[in-house]
Amino acid sequence: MEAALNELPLALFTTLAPMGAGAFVALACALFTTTFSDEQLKRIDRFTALPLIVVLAGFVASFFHLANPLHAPMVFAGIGSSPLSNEIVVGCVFLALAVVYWILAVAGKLSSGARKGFAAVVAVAALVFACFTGLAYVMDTIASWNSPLVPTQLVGFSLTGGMALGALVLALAGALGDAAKGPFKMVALAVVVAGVVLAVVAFCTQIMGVSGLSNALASGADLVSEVASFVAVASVLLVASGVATVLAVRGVSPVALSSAASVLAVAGIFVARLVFYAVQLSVGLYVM
Amino acid sequence: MTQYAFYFDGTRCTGCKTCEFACKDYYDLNTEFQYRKVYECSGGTTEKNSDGHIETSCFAYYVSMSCNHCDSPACVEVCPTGAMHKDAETGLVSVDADKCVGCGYCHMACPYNAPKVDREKGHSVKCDGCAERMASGERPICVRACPARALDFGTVEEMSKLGERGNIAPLPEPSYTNPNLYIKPSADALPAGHEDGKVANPLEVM
Repeated sequence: MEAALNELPLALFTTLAPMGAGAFVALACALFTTTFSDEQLKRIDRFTALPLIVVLAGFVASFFHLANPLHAPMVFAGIGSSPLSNEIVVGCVFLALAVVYWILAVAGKLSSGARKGFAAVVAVAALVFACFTGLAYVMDTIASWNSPLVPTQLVGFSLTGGMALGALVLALAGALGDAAKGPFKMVALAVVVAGVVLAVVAFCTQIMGVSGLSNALASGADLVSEVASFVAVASVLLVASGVATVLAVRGVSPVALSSAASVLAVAGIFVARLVFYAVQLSVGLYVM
Repeated sequence: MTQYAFYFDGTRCTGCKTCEFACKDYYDLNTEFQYRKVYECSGGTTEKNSDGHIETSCFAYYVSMSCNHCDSPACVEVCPTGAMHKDAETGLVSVDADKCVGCGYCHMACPYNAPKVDREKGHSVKCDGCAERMASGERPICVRACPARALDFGTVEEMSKLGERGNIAPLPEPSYTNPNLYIKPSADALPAGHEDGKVANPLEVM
């Protein structure tokens, strides 16, 4: 696991950016299931800055991974061929849509219909971004990462963390109680459960699968035994985050529990990401 | 295009690592970097059998390898900026330092442990087949330095006549990237991807 700390900037990026993006899924769910007052919408829009800041913090962290950040604009040259370029361009499209949505919403330029439509587009872009974040690691020369379980777990992380953060935005805006009186309560429960199941099952299945692999430098079974306790910690944190989100939506100390859910999600996803980097096992001569 | 390739003769290599150090000296590489590495591949056990005889299946052999300038280079395929590229004339793979962002994606993807990010220089570094020496009609410094004449470099047509394409452990199956490394195996060499061929000097080569 110590070696995985070399990937700290990437672990932070892949924790924060998909989680912040996922909050827009929660907001879209709330907007589609609840009729908020103008005053509530104003407060929701103000606190929507929070997930945007989380996404931006992720992108800023990613720059610390680069040996030459000044060449960063050149990553767009590989669109279509490089999975990393694809991830970054999808991330930038999501970020641009989210920022434009937020600016228009704060400026009061979105009618009810336009707000719902725009929020749905941003939510879809968020999930596509989470999926592409996982796809960036899927390549046939790294046997331990070459699996559809990788983008699946990233979507799970995005939904789990995003629902926690989205619930926090609604709670801070004083709108979570009203939302929970309607269908949002069940929708939120469904999305949280789906997110936690996708995250934990895909993550654990992928990591345990590494134990059957090996190359000339390392055995997958050794790598997995080194990270086994961290796999358990990440899973418990993710489940605890989901439970805290559901309780917050059900009206139990909304601000405190959605804050706790967000912190638990950040911690759980971050540990899971470090585990992921720690089990990098090439088909050839490379090991983390 | 004339694709260039390396040749490694496992029946001649003594594991002296002169190739490795000639390269380090020529390119003035510090302790963290080496473009050519000599892998010590070993395995097997020594046991006493039921009638008291000692029997061994132990083996050890060396593989000297740098970048294999593959036909389907994983590093080039994943590079987001196009900095890692394959020369249209020679097929040699090298880094354009003016484009490289230093993300390390090439390092992750390469199954031959060839590129590595030099954070001081701000870009990936690797063997470029001594492109400058080649342009002036000379062979790579590692090939020139080998005292056992276990290395060679030339067109893929010439090198492929001398051995099989990247076919021994600890290398992966050549089908992943189609390396331009042709090998004459030593007697003990195991097939590429074989479970029993482990790298015995990981701290030296990783």
